Amino acid sequence: MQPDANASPFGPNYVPVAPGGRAPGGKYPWATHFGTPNVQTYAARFGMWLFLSTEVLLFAGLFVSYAVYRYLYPQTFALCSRHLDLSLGTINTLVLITSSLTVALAIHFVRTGKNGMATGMLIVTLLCACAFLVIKYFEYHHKFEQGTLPGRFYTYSGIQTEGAPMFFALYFLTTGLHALHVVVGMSVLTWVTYHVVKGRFSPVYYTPVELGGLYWHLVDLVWIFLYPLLYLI
Amino acid sequence: MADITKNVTDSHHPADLEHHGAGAYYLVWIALLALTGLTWWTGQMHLPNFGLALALIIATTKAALVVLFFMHLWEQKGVNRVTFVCTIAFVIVMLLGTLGDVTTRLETLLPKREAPASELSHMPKHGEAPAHGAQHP
Amino acid sequence: MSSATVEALPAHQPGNTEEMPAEHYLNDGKTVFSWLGTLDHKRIAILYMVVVLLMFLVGGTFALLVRLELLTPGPTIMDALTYNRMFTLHGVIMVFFFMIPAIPGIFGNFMLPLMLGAKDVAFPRLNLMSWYLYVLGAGLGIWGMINGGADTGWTFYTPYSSMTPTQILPVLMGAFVAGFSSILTGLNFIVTVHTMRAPGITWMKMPLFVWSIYATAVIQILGTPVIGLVMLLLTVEQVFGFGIFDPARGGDPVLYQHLFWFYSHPAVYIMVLPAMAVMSEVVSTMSRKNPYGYKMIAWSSLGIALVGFLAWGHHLFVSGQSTFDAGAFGVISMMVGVFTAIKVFNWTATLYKGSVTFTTPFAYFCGFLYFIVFGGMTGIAVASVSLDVHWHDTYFVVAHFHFIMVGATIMAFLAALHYWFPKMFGRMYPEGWGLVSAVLIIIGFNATFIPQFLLGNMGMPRRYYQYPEQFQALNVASTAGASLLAMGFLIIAIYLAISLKYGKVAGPNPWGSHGYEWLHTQSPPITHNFHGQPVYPQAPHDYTGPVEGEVTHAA
Ligand SMILES: [Cu+2]
Repeated sequence: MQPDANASPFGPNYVPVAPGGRAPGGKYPWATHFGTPNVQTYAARFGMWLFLSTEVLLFAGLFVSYAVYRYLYPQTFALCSRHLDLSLGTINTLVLITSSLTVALAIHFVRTGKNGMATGMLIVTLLCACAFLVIKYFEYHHKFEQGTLPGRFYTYSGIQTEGAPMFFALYFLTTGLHALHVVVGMSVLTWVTYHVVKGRFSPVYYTPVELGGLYWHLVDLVWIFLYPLLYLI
Repeated sequence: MADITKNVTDSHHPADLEHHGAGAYYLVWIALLALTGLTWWTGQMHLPNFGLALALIIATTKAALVVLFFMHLWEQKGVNRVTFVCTIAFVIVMLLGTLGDVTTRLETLLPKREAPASELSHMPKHGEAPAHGAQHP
Repeated sequence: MSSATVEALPAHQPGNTEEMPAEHYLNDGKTVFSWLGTLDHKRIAILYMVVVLLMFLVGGTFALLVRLELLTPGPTIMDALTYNRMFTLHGVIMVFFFMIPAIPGIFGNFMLPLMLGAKDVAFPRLNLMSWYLYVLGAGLGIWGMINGGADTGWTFYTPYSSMTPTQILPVLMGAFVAGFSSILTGLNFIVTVHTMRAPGITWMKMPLFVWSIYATAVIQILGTPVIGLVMLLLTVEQVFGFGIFDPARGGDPVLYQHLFWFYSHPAVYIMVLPAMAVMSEVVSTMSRKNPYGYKMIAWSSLGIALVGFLAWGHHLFVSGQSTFDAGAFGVISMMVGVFTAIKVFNWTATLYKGSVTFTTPFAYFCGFLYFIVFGGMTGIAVASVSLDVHWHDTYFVVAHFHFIMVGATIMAFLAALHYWFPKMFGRMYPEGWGLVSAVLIIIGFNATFIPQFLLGNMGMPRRYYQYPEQFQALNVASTAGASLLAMGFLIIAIYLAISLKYGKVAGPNPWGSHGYEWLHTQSPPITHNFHGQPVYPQAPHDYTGPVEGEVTHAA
């Protein structure tokens, strides 16, 4: 039961540790205040889902704002939407969906003991994330040149109706907050990749990989809704 | 040890998620790509009445695929599902409460509305608007 | 068992017969790092206690300054801008840095694992991190106060908050960071309740404190992210002027209020549900009876959490919200009263034919019952749209929410402080002084806020610096009441500080409680709480038979 006892009641693959402790070589670090490693995995997964739930509600506030202003300015929103670059938005959607696939595959490979393949998949995911941000940069850059910016920065003469600055305020807020999550997700996945390479994960212990993946899927999930709402109305 | 903690383990979950091959992931990926194509295609039609509804239905389908299969909610029993469903329910509550206000409020209490549709310049199609025509396919 | 409590009365006198246990969590490590780097939920609870009490002192000081200023109709001790800052900072500190973290942070952290027979919460490191976030948030807030201080009121209503000359950003960021702390605490508690229950503790055998804290945690998870977003949006408004809530730019200020109150109404239940949690424990122990209607009390906690989320629009009755929405929200708001009443009736029924020991926690229970009923009934009144048009933004509303959310929370906070003082520190407080200060505080609270009910009904608006002559008598009464309150708190602070060192040693279970947290632990508990894994065959607070017997729940 105590962290210093070498014999684990769950076999050699489960090393008793203090909370947050590490186990060598892909073994499961069983924090002994949990009844069993199973309970620990369950707690970690459940905790992550609760965290994702807070993320969903964070974005929900923005979606609600979007709904209100779209109701107030339907024509303007449609007009502004057509000033976004549809092809770049679509490409970004495909990029994120693909990165979601690769991160799911990375977890799959860690669980089947193929850490090399998993590393590859994680690197592809990170590259996709970079590509997403680069494309986003070009979109932003174009907006800055054109003057289709939020609120008092709005200088574009092409659309001069009430609500156009509001559309771009929401555009920048939603995509900005999303891009921030992309960056956070990239940091998390970089950390995960580092430890996959170091051999910390294995078919016995892969919880952090799974949780990092869940976070990345959430980033994808938000974009799945942003894409039609911003680009396709 | 195992039976000491019985009551916290037995009701919740199997020892681990079932593990399938990776084939399902590729199928889901292809479905997601196809749905993106579909929404891209229908989105440019600018269907007057149910364009938004259609786009949201497609987006929800895509989101469901990601949540159920990439994120494995399909296999997870119990509490994680409840958490997710509750979350969505509360998002809807927030949406309904707020929209319920804006949609039924006195016109004079709303922020300045846009001009009626007739006074706006005609709605360009993607690729038709002169100011940005070059960006669209 | 009441004999034990009687013995506890002359606690300030020397001559203790019992000894403190040799080993407990308080003397396990004496270095600064053993506190600031601790993962022990009990030590984290003490860390919370230190900062929460400090915040209470700061917030209370601001309250007293506000009351002093209102002593005379004209300027008294400060100018108008300072006054605006004072009531803003009073609100911000008391809401975000005192009432929201107080009971979950201190007593939730300390008691949850003890009540569940667990060695710790599910994520001890996250627990410590949430304390640090709380300290960071509070620090940012205080720093912002020293550097100018916001003058918008704790609600930060737009468009004023995006054009005020005062510095609201540090205060906003402080509340934002403290929100993260609240989320992490809630997340930790939910996972703990799901995964750390000892053998025998099924869902319907969890102590009622745990049920209520669980419901609180649900609100923390679902609500707090929204206020986080609101704070971010306000920051963007203030710094960049995006105009999302600015009517001059086509924005809707009422949308701000929707988003703000989507969190901030349920936040009232983040404060009150833990109060109810404490009271369910206290009433059972002090009347030596099983909680009457255990299941009803348990489920009504979740009911409050749910309905609390459907009621936010009652803050927008005169803001321009649509009549339809106002009606709907008004009706739903009244439903909160149903769930609260379920609890009130069940607590009262628990007392019936109980063997009541009138200790300090029980005195606070009586005060609590009064505040929750009186405050709750005035709540039903202001939930009626037509009446609220008259009362909105007057002192009536101020008095109402101070009764229901501050009165109830303070009663529970003090009850918990006294009820669990022996558990946490192993010593008793002086019962006589406890009762004296309880009476002072309950009377002081009434003397402060009953005049405000009257003032509001006469039409005195809240947050005004000056007022007409005819309101002065009642304002003086209110300020006098506030000084009584302060006196009560001062007495408590003195005797608890003395009791920490010189109080009579309490022994493991001075109340003779059958609550889980008292059963298998010493007072104060050892670092990992239990020797071995405790088993709980009986329901909590089962007084129907001997502790060891297998007795089914009588509820
Ligand atoms: Cu409210």
